Amino acid sequence: MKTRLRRALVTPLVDENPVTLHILGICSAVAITNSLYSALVMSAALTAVLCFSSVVISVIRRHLPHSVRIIVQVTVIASAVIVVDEMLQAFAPTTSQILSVFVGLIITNCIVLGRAEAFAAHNPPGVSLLDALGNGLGFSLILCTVATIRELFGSGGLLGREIFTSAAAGGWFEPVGLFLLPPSAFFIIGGIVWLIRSYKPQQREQAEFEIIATDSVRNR
Amino acid sequence: MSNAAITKLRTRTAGDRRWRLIHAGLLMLERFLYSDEGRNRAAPFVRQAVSVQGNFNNLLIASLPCWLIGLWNIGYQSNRALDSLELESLAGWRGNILQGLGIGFQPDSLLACLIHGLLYFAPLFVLVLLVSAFWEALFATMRRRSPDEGLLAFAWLFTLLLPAGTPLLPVMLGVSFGMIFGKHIYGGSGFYLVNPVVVGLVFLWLAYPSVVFGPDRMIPVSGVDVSAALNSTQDWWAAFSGARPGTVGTTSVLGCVVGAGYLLITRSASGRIMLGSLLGILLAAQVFGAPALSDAPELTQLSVGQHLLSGGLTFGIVFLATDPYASCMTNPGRWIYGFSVGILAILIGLANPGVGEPVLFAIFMASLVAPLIDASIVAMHKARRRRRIDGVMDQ
Repeated sequence: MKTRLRRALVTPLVDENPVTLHILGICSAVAITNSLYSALVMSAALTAVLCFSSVVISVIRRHLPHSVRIIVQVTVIASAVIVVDEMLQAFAPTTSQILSVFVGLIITNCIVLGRAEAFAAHNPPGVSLLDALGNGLGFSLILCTVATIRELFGSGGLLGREIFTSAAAGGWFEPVGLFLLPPSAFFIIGGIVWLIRSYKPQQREQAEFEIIATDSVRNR
Repeated sequence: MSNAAITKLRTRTAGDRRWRLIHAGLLMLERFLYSDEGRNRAAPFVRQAVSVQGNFNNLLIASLPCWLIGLWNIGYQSNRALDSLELESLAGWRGNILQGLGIGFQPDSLLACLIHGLLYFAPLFVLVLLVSAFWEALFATMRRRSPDEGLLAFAWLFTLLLPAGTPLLPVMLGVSFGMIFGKHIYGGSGFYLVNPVVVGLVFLWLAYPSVVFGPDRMIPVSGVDVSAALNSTQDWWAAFSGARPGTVGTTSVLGCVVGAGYLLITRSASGRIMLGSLLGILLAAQVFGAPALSDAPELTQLSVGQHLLSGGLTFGIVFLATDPYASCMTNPGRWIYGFSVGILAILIGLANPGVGEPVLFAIFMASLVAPLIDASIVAMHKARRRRRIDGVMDQ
């Protein structure tokens, strides 16, 4: 039992990471990772929503008619998201403005519904909570890594503090404008996926086509 | 010197320790001129004069006029700038070399301008070549394959599209990006979606537009007013021949036309793509040239000729759009692909004057849909044939 709990918490961090293995939640990972601060807030918001919705759905899992379960799950998730959104607007209005629509879009984040449907709907609340927490942390890990790279090289600082002095201010660092644009997050996430799959080959998908090395023909 | 003569010389030097360097050099020359890779030495003995390596070599040879004019142009622009600033010599190691050799800084002297240009081109090219060779070697080792062809052409074309006075660190990043994300993640030559030169340069344009391609990089003399130089060389002949500030090898439309002729004679590049692009540019400049459609009224006043003579538009459609892997394979597809490159190049330039080299972005986007164009052409062809067969069967 203990190992099962630990597995629910630990495997989503790297081995079954929702972003890098299941390629879920990419849109928020691309959209709000241009600064570490917004990434941290987003991670916290998503983890909170994920934990709440997973526990609730797990508790009512035996009372849910199969045919309407998705509607109920989305309702639970949407309620949690609205609470988080309202809390942010009330207590951190500027942060809420920075994140704008993306807090609301947690409803459509595939990680949340994915965990509810794939795990919480079949498992007791305790282990569902740990699974949700693990997935939230796995998402946060990728999000914060991407945001750190993007903010560090895009604007030369972290959390608004200057780390590299830019060339304009007399230092050596040239800010890479591309890292502040959303496409860079695709490259960085792609690079992280590449890195993880080179380190853990069991995550690789089966190749659809085999690349035939032309050398075998050529060097005869 | 014919192939046989080189081979004869090479076999004579083979096996002799004293001649091994010359032997290696001759081997390289032979490989470069008459690469026989791709020829089949077993049955069915298919022999073809053009190999993959040979095709890339032709690309490189075709860009030699652009390169020579570009070298002269760098020197000419810099020496003229020195003249206008009333400086006796250039600061830094290039100035020391030019002065030490007694070549001087006269804008009228062909030799002075060429050597001056070479001193800017050579370090840039060597750097690009070394960085790309590093990635090529790394991936070849990792994948246990021989290195891809076209490394030299990649480095060569990449350097021709950079300004002379560009800082080296961003260039290294751009080359690495082009090699990794443009080429090797897809499996190397023959598998990539977009020409890696284009990918690397688009990265540089997005990441460091002012650092790498800023106007003060075009003429590498500190303190010179480039916009004045740009305005003073607005006559047609200067723009056509390439005597204007710009990147290393793309200023000369003359060189591009000569190169295009060579590519077409050796059949190394598709004339359909070049003509299609030209048609696209003609049409787009006529249709979208109305000032109301654009954020850049001064650009919409340009005629088709001026569009073709500005920036690296011609260079792009001759040397980059015709990439054999990233462009279309079917003949109707080549027309459509070229046409879209032309239209997109003008449209992107008009809609966003901040994009310095719209043709790169146009090629990028057109290359992405090139497989789709090919697939549609093949599907249409199949459908037509099926209809014909069905018609015969019905009778």
